[in-house]
Amino acid sequence: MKLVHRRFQWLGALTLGLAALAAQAQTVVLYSSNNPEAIGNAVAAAKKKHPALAVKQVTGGTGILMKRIQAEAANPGGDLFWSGGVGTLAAFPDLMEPYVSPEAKAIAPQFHVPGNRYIGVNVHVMVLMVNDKQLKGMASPKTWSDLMKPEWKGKVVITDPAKSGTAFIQIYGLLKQFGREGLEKMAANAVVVQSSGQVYKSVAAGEYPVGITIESSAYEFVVGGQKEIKLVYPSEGTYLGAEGMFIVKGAKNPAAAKQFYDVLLSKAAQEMLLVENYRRPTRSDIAVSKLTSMPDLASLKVFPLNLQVATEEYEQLIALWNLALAKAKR
Amino acid sequence: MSTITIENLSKHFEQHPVLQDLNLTIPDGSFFTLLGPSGCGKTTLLRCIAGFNEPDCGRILFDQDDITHVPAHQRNIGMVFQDYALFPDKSVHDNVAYGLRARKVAPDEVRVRTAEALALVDLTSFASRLPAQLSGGQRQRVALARALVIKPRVLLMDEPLSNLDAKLRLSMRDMIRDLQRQARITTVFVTHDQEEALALSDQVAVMQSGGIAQMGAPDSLYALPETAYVADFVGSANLLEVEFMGPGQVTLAGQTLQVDTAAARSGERNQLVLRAETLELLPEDEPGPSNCLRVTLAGRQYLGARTLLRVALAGGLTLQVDAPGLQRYQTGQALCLRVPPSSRVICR
Amino acid sequence: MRRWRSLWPWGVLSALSLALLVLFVAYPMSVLTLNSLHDAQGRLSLAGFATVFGESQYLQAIGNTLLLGVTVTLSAMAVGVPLAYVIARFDFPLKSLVAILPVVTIIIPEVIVGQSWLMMLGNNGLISNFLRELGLPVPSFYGWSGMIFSMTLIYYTYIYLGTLAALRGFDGQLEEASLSLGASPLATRLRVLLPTVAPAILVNALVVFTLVVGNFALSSMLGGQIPLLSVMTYSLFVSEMGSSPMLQSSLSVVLVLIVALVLFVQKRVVERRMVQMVQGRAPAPRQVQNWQGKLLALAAVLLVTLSLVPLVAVVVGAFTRARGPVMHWGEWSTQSMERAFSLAPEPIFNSMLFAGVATLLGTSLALLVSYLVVKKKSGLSALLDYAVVLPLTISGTVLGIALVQSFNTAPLILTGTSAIMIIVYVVRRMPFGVRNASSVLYNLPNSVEEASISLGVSPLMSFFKVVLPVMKTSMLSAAILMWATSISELSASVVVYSGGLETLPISIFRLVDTGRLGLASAYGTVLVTLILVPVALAARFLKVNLFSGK
Repeated sequence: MKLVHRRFQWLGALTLGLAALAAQAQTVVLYSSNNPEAIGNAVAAAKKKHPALAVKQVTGGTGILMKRIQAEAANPGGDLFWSGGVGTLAAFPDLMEPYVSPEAKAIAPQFHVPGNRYIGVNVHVMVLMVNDKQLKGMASPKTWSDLMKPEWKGKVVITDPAKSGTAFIQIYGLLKQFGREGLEKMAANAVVVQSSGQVYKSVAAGEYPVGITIESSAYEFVVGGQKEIKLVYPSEGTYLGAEGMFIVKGAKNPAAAKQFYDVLLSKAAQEMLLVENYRRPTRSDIAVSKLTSMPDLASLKVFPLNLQVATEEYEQLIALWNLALAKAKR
Repeated sequence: MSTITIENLSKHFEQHPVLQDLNLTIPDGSFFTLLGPSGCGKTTLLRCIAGFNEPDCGRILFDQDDITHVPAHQRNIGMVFQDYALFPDKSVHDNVAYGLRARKVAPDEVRVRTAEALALVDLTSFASRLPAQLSGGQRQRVALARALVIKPRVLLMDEPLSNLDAKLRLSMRDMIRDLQRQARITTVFVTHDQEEALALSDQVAVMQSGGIAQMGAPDSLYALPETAYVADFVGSANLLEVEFMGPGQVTLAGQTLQVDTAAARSGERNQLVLRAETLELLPEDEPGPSNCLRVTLAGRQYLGARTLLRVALAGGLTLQVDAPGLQRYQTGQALCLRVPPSSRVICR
Repeated sequence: MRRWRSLWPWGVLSALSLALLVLFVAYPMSVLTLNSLHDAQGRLSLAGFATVFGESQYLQAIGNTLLLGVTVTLSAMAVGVPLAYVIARFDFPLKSLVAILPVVTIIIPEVIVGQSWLMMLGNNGLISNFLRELGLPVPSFYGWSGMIFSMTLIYYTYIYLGTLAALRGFDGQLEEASLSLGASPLATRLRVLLPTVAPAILVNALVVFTLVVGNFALSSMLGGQIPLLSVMTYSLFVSEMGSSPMLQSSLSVVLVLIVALVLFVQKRVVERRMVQMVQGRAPAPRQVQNWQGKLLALAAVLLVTLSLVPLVAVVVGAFTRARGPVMHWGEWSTQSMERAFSLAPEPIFNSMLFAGVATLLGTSLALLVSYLVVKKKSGLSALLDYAVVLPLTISGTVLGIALVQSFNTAPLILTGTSAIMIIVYVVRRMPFGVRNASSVLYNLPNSVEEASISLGVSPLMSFFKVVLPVMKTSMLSAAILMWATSISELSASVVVYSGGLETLPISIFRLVDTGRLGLASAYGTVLVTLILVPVALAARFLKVNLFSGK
């Protein structure tokens, strides 16, 4: 009798131990710069596929989170980072754990990187966010060049490219498309804010008639029902930015991180994030215009940029931009 | 019920000596008063006995037990404070029962003894009241009951009546004296009020600057003060410098008086103690016993039951006289001030 | 041997409490100061300060912050002083309404005030839209106007309470004497009343100034593009993470020095002039009739309404339909509340846990420290007295930064743990509990404790059996105050928090930053409820006065 008791005790302890381990393996710490609704949807999709998965989130701007990951390198607090501009990510290869997801084959080739440290998870389109009510008689701008005209002075809000990956792409694109002169004209008219959130918030709040921002952020206001907000895709050609995600090197919960990673690349999740959060997918098997009222990429005029080169020219661009701003002040 | 012995007790606060080499024995069961003005050290001495002040050197004994370094809460004392120090959140009953409960007395016994104590101070019907609902006198009675119910070795009272009004003070004096006699508990009573000291005590120690100026039974302190300080503190006194002429004789302002010169010494500064209430004012040419000083009336205050008169000697010295009833003398009138032969001369 | 015995238990406890405060206040502040003087290579350098005083953006920030401090202080005085005078001297209908004002400031955290006024008066706000439809011009709420407006509505309470106390303690016979000597009522007020009450007003005005200078929540939410010290320090902290903290430390030190200077002036110049009023009777409030009475009543109602707007706004916002960042005022939905409770309830749990533990710890510590300082005076306890007040001079942002710099490396790593959140709350809010408890202890004569000791109860047990019961009510009110102010703390916790440790104010702050006002309002409603319930219960059932000793 005593022996049986003992065995039960062992079994009980073992089960408890396994359960504890199992419970541990089901937690993943997500570092994300995306808005709560998007994160909510991502988490919901993940839990649908893996009901036992528990997600802890840390939110913040991309730059802030990357700095945090860097500071925590010896003792990582996060498992998965979703998502940041690929230009930003490329600068931190040491923080990433390479991984090839089974879903990766469905992702369009231009979003893969050699070494598989990170992968493109959605695409951003740069747009002009226009507040009709604040135009006050001016014609709605249709092109980048429109905004460089003197009557737009102080009316165009843009993020400091040193603080935002997407703003960097916007400024870089302007430089490549219109040269230094174009950049200086834009600098003369621009109002620079410190975070990309402030651009769409202030346009929506009616502080400025136009802001240069990303489609998914601006589109939220249109769908949200703020009638005076309009999106304009500059007809001279707009710029694209890709955002990537990666598994943190030394992550405490690599298995769970990989599960979440796979989910974020799956068709179901990418479709949901498109339809509900207006984030364009990187999968090649999703038709954007059929699922939403956003135009297909193919139908947009895009001015191509080599983002690898852009990353290398980062310092120069920031310097050029600051010079342009200083010149405009005089 | 213990004898308290104080041996060579000294204490100072920040370089100030407050008690200087005090020696004292308080007999078991007696009512002993420490009398003196503020700053004389009486409260410090009491608190040393209680254990709230630690003496610098010397010993304190309860019977044969050296309790000098025993913590206050282990000395088995009962203390009554000037501001009553009742526990504001506890009822009268719980205040009185507090010490019993701290001694882990059985609840039944607590109830009985508390009821007895409250009956002794006549507060039985107030048992459930809170201190805030009591008058000053009632609070003091609760404090008394609380200190006595635990049957301490000694009872210590720190000016317990100073915050009460005059009428209340008188009735409380009676209660305190009765309770003390009944319980036969060694009591040390601190006061600056000499009337209280005289009325309540078996023995009084008049304190001065950290030491004892004179100690003894109330009547001997009153009648036979040894120093000017004591003479003026116990009762009020007119102190006049006189010349010692020989046994029983002194001269003052050119006049000779028969007085008690037992303590007088030639060559020393001798002072005659004239208690205002023992002096008599008679018309100048009154026949009869002498021992008079020639004075003029300088002023008077009629108080109903008595009259306070101020008289002047030749040479300008004034004396206070406390005479019964109405004294129909006029200001400026020449009078004879009769000095009782028992008036004492002291030379310190 | 005797000496050592006398150190137990109070000497030991004093030393322990002092050690705790040194560890979590003095030590981090010295680390911060050292960091401000060393560059990335560890060499002694004044480059940080050189930058702060050399570059225009920092100088602007300093200038703007000082200007904001002065402006808000003046406008808070403009509201608080007349209000106190009116309450002290007059009786008018609805006067009792005004009594709830100080409580309201406690209940509604700053972060919610900022958010609510944004929702009402921001460019797309409810009231702004309404006014615009009426054709009235609506100035922008961001920037100076928004900050001055909302900060005044919060900080005037300090001036009001201080002035009211001074007026109530003022001996009316002095005024009567002046009038009898021939001075007119106006001259009397100016020459007799004002100089006596002025120091009390000034003391509180200076306190308000230091609070504005160190303000974070409203400055960052409503500041717009205006460079301000605390906001700038915070962004420096965020962007310098992982690299040399010299600049953030230098800016923090400058902030601390400004506050220290002001408090020094207050101690030396103003408090010296405070006249000790011999206990006199203040003149009884005069009944005000007819139209003047109605006018005062109206003003009272207006003030109370303005103070309560954030409360109403946040509840309305929580139940308003929100699609992404767009609020559809007039359409109702419980979606935001559902999201707060089901999808992301962690901030709610975190807030309750951290504030709960901090309240327990802080109240106990406050009780202990105040007992040591008031009843067990010693050299050590005098130091303790100073050490406790120190956190009041350090703005939340600076304290947070100092703590992170001190405790993110061995031997004591606290960053990333719940411990550091709780420490922040305790350190910042305990001084109020100490003040509360001290005022009660000053009024408890030593003889009560001695009576207990004389009856056979040891000094330590006497503390528990006699002192503690008397402190019950004051401790309860200190605990509630501690709970309310901890749970709404933002400026320090937003610096020290990390993944999984978000509290309600932090979440609200982030959500407002990304434009999610619906969800922010949902969290805000929960936060206000968590504060309101204990306060209301205490006021109703326990008749607790939260402001004794404030």
